[in-house]
Amino acid sequence: MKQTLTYQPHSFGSHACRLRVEGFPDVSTGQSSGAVGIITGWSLDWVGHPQLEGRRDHLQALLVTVLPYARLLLSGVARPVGGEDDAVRIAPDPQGGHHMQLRSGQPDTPPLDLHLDDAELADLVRVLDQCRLDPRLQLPLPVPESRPLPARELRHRLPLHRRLAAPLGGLAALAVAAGGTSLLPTPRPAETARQASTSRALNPPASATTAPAEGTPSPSPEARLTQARRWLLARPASTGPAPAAQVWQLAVNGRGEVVAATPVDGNDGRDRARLGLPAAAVPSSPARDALLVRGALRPSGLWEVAPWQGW
Amino acid sequence: MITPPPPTAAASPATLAAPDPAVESPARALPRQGLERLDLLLLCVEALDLNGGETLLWMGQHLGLAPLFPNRVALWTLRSHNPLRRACRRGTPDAAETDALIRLLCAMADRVYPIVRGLLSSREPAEVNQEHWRLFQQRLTELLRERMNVRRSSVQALMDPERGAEERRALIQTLALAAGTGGVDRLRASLQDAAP
Repeated sequence: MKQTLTYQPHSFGSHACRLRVEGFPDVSTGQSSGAVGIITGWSLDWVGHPQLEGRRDHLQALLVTVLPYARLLLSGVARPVGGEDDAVRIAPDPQGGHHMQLRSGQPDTPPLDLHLDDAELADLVRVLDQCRLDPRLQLPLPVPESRPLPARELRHRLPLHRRLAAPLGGLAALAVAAGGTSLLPTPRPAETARQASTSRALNPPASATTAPAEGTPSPSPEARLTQARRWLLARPASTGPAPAAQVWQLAVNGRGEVVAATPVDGNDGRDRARLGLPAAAVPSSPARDALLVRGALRPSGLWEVAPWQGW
Repeated sequence: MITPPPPTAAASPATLAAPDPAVESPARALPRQGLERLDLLLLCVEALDLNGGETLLWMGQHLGLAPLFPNRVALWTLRSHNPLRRACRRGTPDAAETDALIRLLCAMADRVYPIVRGLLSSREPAEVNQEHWRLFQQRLTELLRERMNVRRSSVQALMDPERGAEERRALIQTLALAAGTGGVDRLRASLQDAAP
């Protein structure tokens, strides 16, 4: 027996919206005579709008479009729901209200455009809610589950100045940090006055490291190293053609004198390319009592001097 | 002014109280913004219904929520978790309590739906519509001044006739779209939105 289920937004006053669903109970699944398990058609009567009719698919399309749109509106997100080719599409109207577009499945039928105000949309939502929750309608009409929206979809709730505060604050902090860093003095690359004063503290006085007299015993390796460091610090520009060299090989004889000096390119000393000829090159076979010393200028501005056994 | 109509047959309190599989979802505590909005919506219902305070209690008992809201003090205590309140409580209410408040609000919104619809309708005469909005704004301002911390900027904005018009309309639209049984899950989800 054919059943007609009627849904209205409220049970009194003017009925601006009325949804009628017609169908039969599905006796094959044992449904009672008052239930509807097979929808044969539905109609929506709206005051001020043409009557809408359709099949179950159209009712399903209306449910999965209008109810998610209402869910978004509750969060203040006015966003279209439904694609351009879908049977139902609803979107906020820039002039106010809502614009719903219905596409017929029949060919050569133009889409129907409806303009709804907030009250008419609420009526539609209420009748659709009643329809999907009606226990007499015993067939599945699935709708998307309502879920909380993530923060990225709710940025419009924050005022513009609060939205821009964090990135602008970060940029300002970066600019201040960069400006402050640029004001810090950079260390001078080579021998500076600070280095010279520091080296005086590191090196003993000249009187303590003077070359021993003839016949006196050879100075200790520490004294020779000190002499080599002094030579490197006091090295005038005219001493060698490569004043910028940061690694030198020195030969210090038994009297504590630097008898040969060679600039070497490369901190590790493996590159033997010479930058130029110093006053005297380090002999390949220096005197027996000569101490080969290697001095390297560290980034701190100090010379590191150490005995060197050769290649 | 505005008198509440009788409850509709379409979504009776009994329907709202009954656990519906389409409505049921895992209960989750509401964030701060959700608590604020829920209490403001209840305040709007009270502004629409002159006897709203009593009706809330009556509706709560009708929905079977008497164990949670046995009297008006319990209801006030729960609503006082709203940080905008003049005397607000610390802490967060249980998910069951906020869920009961949401059901109560949807039932009340269903009760005042004709008034809400009249406010939102563009087919009403403009003069009548403006007068209804003016009465609603006046009543809501009185309730806000009575219960909320009026030093808060959001409360001041809501009380302002010009600045608060859009927010008041959004609250009324929320009541319209959340009225009835089907609105419970929609409203719950919107109140649980993440903080922007």
